[in-house]
Amino acid sequence: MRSFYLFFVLAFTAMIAQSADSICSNLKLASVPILAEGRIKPLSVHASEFVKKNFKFQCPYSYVEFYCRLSIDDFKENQGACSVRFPVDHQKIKQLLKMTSENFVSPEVIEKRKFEIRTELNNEQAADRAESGYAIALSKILLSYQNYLNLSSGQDWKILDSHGQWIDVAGFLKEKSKKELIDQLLVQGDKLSDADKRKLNYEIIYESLNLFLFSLFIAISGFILSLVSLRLPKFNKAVKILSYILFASLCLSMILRTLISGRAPVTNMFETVLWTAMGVLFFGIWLTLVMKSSLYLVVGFAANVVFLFMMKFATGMLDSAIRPLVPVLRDNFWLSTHVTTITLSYASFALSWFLANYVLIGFIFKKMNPKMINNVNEALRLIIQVGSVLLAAGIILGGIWADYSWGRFWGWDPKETWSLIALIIYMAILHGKYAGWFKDISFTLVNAMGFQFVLMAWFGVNYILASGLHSYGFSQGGSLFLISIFTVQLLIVLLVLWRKKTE
Amino acid sequence: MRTLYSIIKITWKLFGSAKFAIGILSIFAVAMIIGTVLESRFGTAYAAKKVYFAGWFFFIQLLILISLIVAVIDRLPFRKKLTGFYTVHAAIVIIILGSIVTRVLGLDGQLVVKKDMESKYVKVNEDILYVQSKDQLVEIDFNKSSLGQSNILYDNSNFRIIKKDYIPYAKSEIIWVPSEDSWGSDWIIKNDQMAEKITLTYPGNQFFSQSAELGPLKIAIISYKDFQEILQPPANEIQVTFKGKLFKLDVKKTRHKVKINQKEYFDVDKVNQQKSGLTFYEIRYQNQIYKFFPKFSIYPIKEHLEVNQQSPFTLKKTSEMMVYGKTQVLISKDQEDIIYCAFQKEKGWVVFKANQQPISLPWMGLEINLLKNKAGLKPVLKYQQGVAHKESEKNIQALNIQVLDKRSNEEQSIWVSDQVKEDLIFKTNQFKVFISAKMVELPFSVKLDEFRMETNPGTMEAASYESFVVSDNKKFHIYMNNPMKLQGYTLYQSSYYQNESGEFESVLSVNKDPGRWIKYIGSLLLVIGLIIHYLVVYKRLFYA
Repeated sequence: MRSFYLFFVLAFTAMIAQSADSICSNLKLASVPILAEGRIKPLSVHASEFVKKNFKFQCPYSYVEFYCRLSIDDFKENQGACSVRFPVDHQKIKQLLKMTSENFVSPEVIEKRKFEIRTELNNEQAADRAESGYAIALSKILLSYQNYLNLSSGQDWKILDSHGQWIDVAGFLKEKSKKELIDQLLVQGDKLSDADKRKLNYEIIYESLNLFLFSLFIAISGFILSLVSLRLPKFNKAVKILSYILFASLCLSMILRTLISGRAPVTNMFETVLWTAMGVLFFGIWLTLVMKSSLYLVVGFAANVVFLFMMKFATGMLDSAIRPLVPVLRDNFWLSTHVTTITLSYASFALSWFLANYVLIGFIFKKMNPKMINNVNEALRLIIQVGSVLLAAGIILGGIWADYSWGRFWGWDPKETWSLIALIIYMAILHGKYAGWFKDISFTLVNAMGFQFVLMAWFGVNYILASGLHSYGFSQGGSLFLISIFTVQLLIVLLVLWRKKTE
Repeated sequence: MRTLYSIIKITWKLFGSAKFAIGILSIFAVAMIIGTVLESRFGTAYAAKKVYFAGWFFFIQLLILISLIVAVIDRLPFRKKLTGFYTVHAAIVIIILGSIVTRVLGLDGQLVVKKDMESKYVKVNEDILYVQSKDQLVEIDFNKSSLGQSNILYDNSNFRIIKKDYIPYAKSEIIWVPSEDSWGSDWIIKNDQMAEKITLTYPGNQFFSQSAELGPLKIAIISYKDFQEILQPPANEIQVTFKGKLFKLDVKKTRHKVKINQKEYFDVDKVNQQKSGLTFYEIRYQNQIYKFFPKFSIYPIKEHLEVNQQSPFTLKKTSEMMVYGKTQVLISKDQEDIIYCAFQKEKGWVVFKANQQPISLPWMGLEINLLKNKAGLKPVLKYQQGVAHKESEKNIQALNIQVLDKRSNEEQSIWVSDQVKEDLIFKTNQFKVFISAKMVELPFSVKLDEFRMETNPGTMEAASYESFVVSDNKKFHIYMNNPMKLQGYTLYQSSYYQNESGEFESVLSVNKDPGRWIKYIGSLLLVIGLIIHYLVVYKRLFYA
């Protein structure tokens, strides 16, 4: 759908390019290396990241052309052709900006009301409400507007000058013409160091492959086919092949991200979801081999469909951009061991969650027999045991890293406290199983509920509690997303309890 | 006898049972959830006080410890099948014991290291009451003593201190009391779009400053003597800071280069502006130009007198540059109660009388107007019960003490807080009382040799920062993941800041943890034990 749309945009751009004929229309500009946000990257990557993050524009240009035109002020000859709109959805801000029903506001309006917005923000901060939804929305709009100003004054990105130093576009244009700027851009790929050239090429490949869309496609077909194969075992082989293709595709995207960023791909929420998706699939493949049933691949594919959907479309919550790391996290060894262990444990718990809910929903519709439930419970127990070992090891590795880097093993940081809570909950579940408390469907039920604590540790701390050292991924959409998951899960649990009573 | 035996037996059975383990684990989980919610609402310090370091939380951990030990003893003598079980439970006991050792014998604090100064005192996360007299400084732990029956915090031959009240999260209110040689004044600053009231006092103190900042303006009250002095501009040498290093500029040359290291240099141009008679310096580095007006600001000035605080270059603060990054408005008062207001224009200072009419400032159409002159009054703080703030530095703790001076047999009651140092004056004695962080002396001292900061290319975000320090006649290089180790202490690079003269000071976190290896051994055993345990289960499941 998206590529279809993109195709149209590109085709349209090509048409416009002939009539408007701007120096920014050159299609080769997309893969040109620039320096922005502390990293050398292709212009196309930065342009689309920047524009998507800050505002919307209404004109038939590609991200690259629009971005380029705005930063070298190339709109003068056909003014009005392009309009920039900042999204505003907070009701109080709409009132402040005297907006009527529309959800977008122009830069001119913000310029006029800049003072009021800042005063409101100051008042919120003075009243100790700096983290209220209103204050966050206010600072977001100020930041987006500031970014817009930076871009339109040619300060958002840098290019190489004749001495081989990075200078911003405005600085370059002081001495040289726009034509020279484009010429310089087109040749500056050759001036990079070999390592930077290689990274740039990897990033161009990474962008053009669109691996996540491909993976999502495979995951959806795998999910459907594996469901069919539960009834028709002749498809088992095809399902297996699809699972290997999906695994390879996720691996490739991870390897490319590693090559581009030069560090383990486990530094933000997006990447932990990517790891977990891969982990779930890995455990699904493993269980299918051990338990000799393709049910685990159904679950593995289902989880991947969900995760890939989030990665592809919940961009406000999961930021896919590759950014430089904050200094405290710059240690490849600890980063890769601690975070991968933790995310692999999340993966096994996620698999147990999808599996448990598969059984619970079947139970509600009376499609499960006790033997099946017991079989799945055995698998669930195995999965959460693996998950607990990994989580315990991950927490300890985190403690050792913290001790090694900051001199404290444990600091009651909310992220670490919540992962301990999740571990304790699974320990309680396992002890309960041992004590004979949780039998049959009850064990499935507690497994489904146990994952809610993992979700809190994984997302909830950043999206709901949002404080502490680990808060690298704040987003407002995240809390809504989590709360809806909790609600749906509660509903399933209640329905199961009701069904159990009526039996 | 028999009943006692059976009670012990039942209790023992209860503590060792899996059901007790589930119960206590669930309670532990709920307690931690409460802790994280409190933290997100009221901040780290509050959650630590109410949950993580509270007595009841330790009690839960104690029950877990007992449950673990009893569960193991219950399953003796040794059975090979249970190897994993024994290892895991013993490992958790070892980790908990290690944490206790850390808590009791460890040290965790912060040390600020500066150039040309030996730092020795570590600030730890615990506040104490300081009583300073002419000849001694007494440190009093006001939290611990409250456990005892009497409220006597301190007693010696000179004075006795009794704790009357303590508000951990206080709200403060300002009241004005008569005081000689003090001067307070309320001002209003306004233009078409805004109006803001400010209060300034002379002499300033920690809670009411002598100055207020408003956009690019800094408005300050100073003594009349200083006021007269500042209006005479002296000329000095100029020094510039770049990446933590100081470089001297040659004020005589119109154009010269300054070496940064073997490879790099920056260009300096001295420019005399004909129109205004002002002198400024242009530093050119990596195709960027930074314009410095040494009298105005340590930061370079962009167009429209905007200050570029992102600049990698800053000037070293000089005596004539009272305020950095700001345009200053100075206010003073002479003996006859005539109030003066002065600010800089291009050619120098202009002075106005401010008693009657508003004075228009040359920025953003602002106008400053005297609302109320409070000559002979000084502000003091009154404390009330408040709420905990999320940022711990916003929290105020207030302690009400009664001090008996034994020589004069006088008694006085006073509120002390971490906001301000209070004076306590008796006929025969005089004290300063205040609440501040406890300082622990290290067996060695540390001096900063050099501080370096690298940024992400093309931005001013720090990518890494590192300190070169000297201690015990040895040199150490401290950076992320490379701490300095000396005499059982480990010093980590924690953060840094730029002081008023633009020099970098490095903040190290200091840690001593004798329980470290106990926790490490416990952790290793835990992971090994879990793997052994589940391998046994796995084998039973698939190969039985």
